[in-house]
Amino acid sequence: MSAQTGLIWLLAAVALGLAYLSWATARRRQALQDQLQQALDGKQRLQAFLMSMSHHLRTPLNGIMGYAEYIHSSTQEPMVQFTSKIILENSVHMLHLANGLLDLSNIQEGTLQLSHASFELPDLIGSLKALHQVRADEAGIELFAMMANDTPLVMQTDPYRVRQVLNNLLDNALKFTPANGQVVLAVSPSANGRQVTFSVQDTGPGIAAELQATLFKDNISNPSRFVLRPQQGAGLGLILSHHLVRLMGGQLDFSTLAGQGSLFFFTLPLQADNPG
Amino acid sequence: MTNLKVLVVDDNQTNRLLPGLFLRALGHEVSECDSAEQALAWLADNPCDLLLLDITMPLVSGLELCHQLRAQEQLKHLRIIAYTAHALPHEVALLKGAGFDQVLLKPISSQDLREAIGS
Repeated sequence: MSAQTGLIWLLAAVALGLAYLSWATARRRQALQDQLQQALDGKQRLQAFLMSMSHHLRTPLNGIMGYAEYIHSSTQEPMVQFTSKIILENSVHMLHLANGLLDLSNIQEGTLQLSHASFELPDLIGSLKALHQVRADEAGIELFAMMANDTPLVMQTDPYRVRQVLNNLLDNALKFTPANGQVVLAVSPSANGRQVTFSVQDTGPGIAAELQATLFKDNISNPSRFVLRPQQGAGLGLILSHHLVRLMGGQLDFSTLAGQGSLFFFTLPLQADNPG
Repeated sequence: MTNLKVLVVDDNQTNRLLPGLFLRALGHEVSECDSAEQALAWLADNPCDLLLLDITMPLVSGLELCHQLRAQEQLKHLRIIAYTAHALPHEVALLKGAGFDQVLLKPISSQDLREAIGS
């Protein structure tokens, strides 16, 4: 074989190699693009699912809640009053779930609108305590609400969402705390006086180590949430609370000790940036 | 508040009959239709102060019916409340922009209904 023939063979081999490389790269790029498209399609499908779920839950709830209220208000029979009230209370839970799905869908789409208003912290704390007192009494749990002495009285942010987050945290604390336990809602100012810290502490069992890392993660389709906590719901409230606190300019965090209890806390600016 | 002549339009019987239970107890006069076509015929023959209108109905939707009514000279100013489970902010905004005076979200309580018609 002459040197010339050898060179031709070598060039041919290099050309073939380059052709293969470019084909493999294109193929890989296409595969990555397909994967990305699939992920986006999946997200859109989840979005559409969450939105239609909300609609499909609300329609039958209208019948359940409306007629239960009608029965409750049109009878003197104690047992009928009692049972129709139970239907109403349970459907309110379901409505909260529907609203939660709606909120989550809006957060993922970036379309959740926060309101902006001044409100009095003592009013908020007082009404939260009153709302949860009944359930605490029924469960034999001591419920405390405390404001540090130097806490500012007025705050400017989204009062509805602050209430929603604290409601979620108090709901959870009461759900997991055994009889004779304690739940403490507390508010205190930051050192510079421009922020307020809210906390909810319980004397429940603490949060299992395998759950801690994913407690605020969005992956509601992750079946382990249901497997690990079969009786305790999907944890939608915590995921939502985490997002809502972030949108209001804070960070929801927790510390927990097995057998001792959990503490959830977040700090918010006293005056949120006005969205305009 | 004076007694109102209310028409409820909803293809779902459960949800069509519910507002009447609450509204008649408050002294209002309530009629029901199960489709947009039936509502158009009823409105041509009967006086009406307030329309509670479902959105998702087969054939002609509540949105289309609202549109048709707003185009009629004698019904242009009829008070129309959307009676719907479409609760997303952009859906509510769309309804308000499409000629509905108010949006009443399902599930309703008697208080929601009183506030909606009283305001």
